[in-house]
Amino acid sequence: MLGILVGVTTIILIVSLIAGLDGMVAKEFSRVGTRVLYISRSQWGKEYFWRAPQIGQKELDAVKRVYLTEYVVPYRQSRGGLMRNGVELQNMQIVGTTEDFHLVREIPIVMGRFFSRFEAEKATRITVIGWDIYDRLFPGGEDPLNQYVEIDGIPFRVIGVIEKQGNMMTNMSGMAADYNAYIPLPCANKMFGRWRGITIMASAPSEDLVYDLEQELRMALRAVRGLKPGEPDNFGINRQDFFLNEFRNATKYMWAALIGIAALSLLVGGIGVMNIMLISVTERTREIGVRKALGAKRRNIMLQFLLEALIVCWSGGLIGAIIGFFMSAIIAAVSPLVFVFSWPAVALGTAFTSGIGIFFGLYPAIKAARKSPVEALRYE
Amino acid sequence: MDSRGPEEEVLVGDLIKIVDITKTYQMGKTQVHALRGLSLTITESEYISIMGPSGSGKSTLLNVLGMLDVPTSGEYIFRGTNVAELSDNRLAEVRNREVGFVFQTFNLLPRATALGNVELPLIYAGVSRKDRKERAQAVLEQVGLADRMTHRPNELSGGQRQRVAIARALITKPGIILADEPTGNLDSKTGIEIMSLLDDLSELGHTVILVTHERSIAEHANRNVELLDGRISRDETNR
Repeated sequence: MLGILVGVTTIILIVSLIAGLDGMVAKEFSRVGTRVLYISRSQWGKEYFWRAPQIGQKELDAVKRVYLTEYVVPYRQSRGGLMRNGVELQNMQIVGTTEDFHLVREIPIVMGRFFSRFEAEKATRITVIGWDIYDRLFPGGEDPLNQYVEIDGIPFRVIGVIEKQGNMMTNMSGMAADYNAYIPLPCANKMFGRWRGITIMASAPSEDLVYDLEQELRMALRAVRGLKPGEPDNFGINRQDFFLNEFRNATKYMWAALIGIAALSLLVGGIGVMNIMLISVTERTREIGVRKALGAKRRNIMLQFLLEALIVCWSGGLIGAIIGFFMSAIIAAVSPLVFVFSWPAVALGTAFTSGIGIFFGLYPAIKAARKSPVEALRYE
Repeated sequence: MDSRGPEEEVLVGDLIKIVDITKTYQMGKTQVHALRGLSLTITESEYISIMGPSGSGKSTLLNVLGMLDVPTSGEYIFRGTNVAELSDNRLAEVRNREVGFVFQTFNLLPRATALGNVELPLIYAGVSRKDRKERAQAVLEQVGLADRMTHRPNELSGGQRQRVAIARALITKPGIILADEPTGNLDSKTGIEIMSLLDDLSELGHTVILVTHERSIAEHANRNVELLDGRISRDETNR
């Protein structure tokens, strides 16, 4: 009935919330740009190449020689503990990389700076830390620059702090950065084992060159590994949107279920509306007779009742929209989810409720229009 | 049967000419002959009453006169047009313009004001909002309800409601005012007031057709018609 229409429009608004989520995720994932390719030991999502050799110096050199690359940044991720003045942070992400990392990943530095090329090539014990690490190891707003922290027991000098990302999504994906500590790659190699688990980021100068870059990289790597034609790749060249597609795949079923529920609710709601209208028509038989006696044609009566059906639907829809609006706003306020007020969703909801009104209101309206005035006037 | 068609016999001043109409309808397995070859001529400004017992065809004749129903056979010529052959929509248009109904049970829209009720026929006639309102106000004044225009029916007495109904009947300046037991739901004092109003309307030149079973009401009219078994049994004009 009216209640069901309310529920339906609530669903429509929650849909817009999920659309907001999707949009936000997409934005975050693509923030770093779709120009970056990731060269690693295996193709993401596919089987791991057991006997594939590690990505090492010779692969790195080969990639650097590819003309189409704008930046070439190797990196590796390990887990380690940071400590300072008795405060210990365990299981932090330690990223070993080179001087252009923050440029490819577009991570702003708020204090100090990132490594220089010289520092990156030597195993200088310097680090750039994420905001939350800074916040916890340097409480009270203490200046962290040129101070020392211990990473797995080894002292490192802090030379920079990264802007707070604060975003649940990107923190979860490990791409940023609040709980990361960045150190030069040679240091990571010494601490965590030589040349293991390296991924090379190669960025194209522009989006339309990404495909060509991928081909060039493939050729260069196959050459340097001595792969014969016909032999499959023993490495992976991955694209940034892999994660987004995985997310979308997973949520695809959720969308389908939601739309199914919404459609079902709409159907039930529509039948409810039709029932209300049928009862209304019967109760107002006399009135229909009077109107016809006064000169109303079938068309007049039909439009009158159709309009009433529409108003029932619209008011239900409006109430549902307002409730849905508030619910979504509340959810957005207490969670990291962003509230998106989507005008297309409102338009869609209006179109749907109108359609329901017309479709399910038509039969009662026609029934009203067809009543014979003589009999209608006789009706008690 | 005359060789000339009935249309040619319509004289100037003949408002209604009903020729040999029958009305038969099916009730279950039986056929009911409500009207059996009835003929009637009504001229402009006549004040006519129609009386008859149950089953005399009185209600059916009322429905036919009011263009709510079409006869099974025969002609109903209204101002020269045979309305018995009109489509539903055309019938509604003519009815809207030419017939002013006054019902025993008033039949006002409960959720509309007096003004809104009186306007209703003009809405179906396609008259603009401004004109509607003006005309409705004028006719409500004419029946003495100038100070009750914004009241709803449940705020009005029985007599006032019937006056709203009469105002509604007058608003399209109809050819006939068709009153079906107009005092049936009123006490005797109010009934007298309403009949007095109808008498005044007749003096102003309106054609008033009164359908009733009470002789005292019927005698307000100056022509009395009685029905029996679907035919006219008596048709007397006095005064």
